[in-house]
Amino acid sequence: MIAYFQTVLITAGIFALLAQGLNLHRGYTGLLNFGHVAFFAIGSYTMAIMVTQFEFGFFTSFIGAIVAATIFGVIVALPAIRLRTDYLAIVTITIGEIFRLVIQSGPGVTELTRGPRGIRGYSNEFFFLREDLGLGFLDPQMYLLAIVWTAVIVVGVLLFFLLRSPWGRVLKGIREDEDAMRALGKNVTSYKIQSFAIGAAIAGLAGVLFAMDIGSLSPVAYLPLITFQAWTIMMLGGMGTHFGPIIGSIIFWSIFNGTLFIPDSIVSGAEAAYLRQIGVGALIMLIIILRPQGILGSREEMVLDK
Amino acid sequence: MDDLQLSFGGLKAVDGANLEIEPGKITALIGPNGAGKTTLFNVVTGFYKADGGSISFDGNSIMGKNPHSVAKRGLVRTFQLTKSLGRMSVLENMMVAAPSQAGEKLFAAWFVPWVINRQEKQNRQKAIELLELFNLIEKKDDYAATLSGGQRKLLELARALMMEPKMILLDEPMAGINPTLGARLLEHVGELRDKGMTFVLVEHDMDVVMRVSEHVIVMANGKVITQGSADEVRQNQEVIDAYLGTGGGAVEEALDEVMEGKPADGRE
Repeated sequence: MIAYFQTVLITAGIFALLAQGLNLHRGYTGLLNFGHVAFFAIGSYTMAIMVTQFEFGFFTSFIGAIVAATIFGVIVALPAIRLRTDYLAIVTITIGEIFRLVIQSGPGVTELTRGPRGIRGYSNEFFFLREDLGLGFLDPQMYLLAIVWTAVIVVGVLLFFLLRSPWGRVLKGIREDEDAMRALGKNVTSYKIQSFAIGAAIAGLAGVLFAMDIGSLSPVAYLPLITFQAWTIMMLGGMGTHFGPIIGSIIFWSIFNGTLFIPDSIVSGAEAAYLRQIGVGALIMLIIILRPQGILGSREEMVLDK
Repeated sequence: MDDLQLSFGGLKAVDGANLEIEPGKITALIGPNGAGKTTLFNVVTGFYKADGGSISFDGNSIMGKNPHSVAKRGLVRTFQLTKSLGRMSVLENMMVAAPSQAGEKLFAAWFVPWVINRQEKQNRQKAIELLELFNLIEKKDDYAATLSGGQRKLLELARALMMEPKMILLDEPMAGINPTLGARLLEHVGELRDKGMTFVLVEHDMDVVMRVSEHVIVMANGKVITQGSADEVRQNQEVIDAYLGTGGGAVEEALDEVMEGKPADGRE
């Protein structure tokens, strides 16, 4: 039972981070980003490659991963940001898939990423670090749990202050009407790139922690499904709310892993795995029908059109 | 203070328009639908790129500048279809428009919160004064989307004033607004003009045009066909032709009727 809660909370924390970044993009800036998994993957891979192939320390690799995700965010944003709504969605979902396929079989790239064979053995230093941090009394899982949730809280607090500042107000204005914001003297393109970059950096951080959780990387861990799970979490918690991604993520993963409690005599393990996917689909439908604004979202905002 | 000259070639919607706006006055830009009035606004404010010609404002060229940098120079526009930021409060709509806010820079909130707080206080004060002036103060915490069409027009003008502009381009400020609110809006425009602000308005209500504007510019087919005082324009044969097509004496009678305040071109 404790193992169940640990698993749920570690995954929930990682996806809360992912959804926080997505919430910055969609919930506050109005950018339809469907390629979030690419930033997640670049975080994991940069860290793992720096540790295993170039023998950097964990901290350097950790910073490197976030910097790489940020830069990648800007690179993706530059062409993509000219597009609005659905067009941006199409381009970003494509970027996510292209990125995964390049990791898997890009010529030259596979020398670093080892293609479908994946990378392992990058997490030792991270787990040994707990002695230095004075957390030696925790077992590895508890230690990861503590680190993940520290990250969630730190990111949440930093975003909270950022988003209620005038900077966040400009982003909300862009979400409502970007031409109006241009007419008010705001450099909309620059703000969109900033939003994209920060959301990507948070996803990169989530990617590093995800890599620690799964222990070995391979391209199949970065399917578009990850993006859709993050979207579901954001919608479930409430788009454009500060705590939505966190609450949404805990509920989502509790349900997702809840199939473990179904006795084998009723449904076999393999069937239960499919049940989860059905459960996620049903959850998305339920949110849209019963509470389109999400758990924390405001009904009034949902009903108002622009 | 303002010296705006425009000339465009190649862009069909605005085809060789050449005009100058006098500072400190209310200028009306009229013309039949499709004359290129709104397009002209879009080109001047940087929303569309002109193929040729030159635009200068306040002594500097603003040709090909981005909308946000045009706005920062003090040339602010409103929209024909009002663009209120619906899921933000009326007060937030005002605050977001304040110019040069330190807190708009990324991460400023983490490092210089006291600077932001001080500015926010000043801007809130200014926003509240403007909302009081425009009778929107009771609505300050409501979502902008809940305002009526007329109130949104007022909000858009008030929001433009937050930017302390030198010149405001109003695109059909009276469209869809009830007469009482409309009169109030015009009153504000008049008062601001007296304080030295320059206005250009696209308007279809001839009654309004003749009443408030000191200068009238008439456009048709992307060209400026004439300009002058309201009375001069009223008498001009080209204007009559542009609105009603070339025709006989019956047309002039019809035009007189139009100029007396009835719909100019079938709108509203």
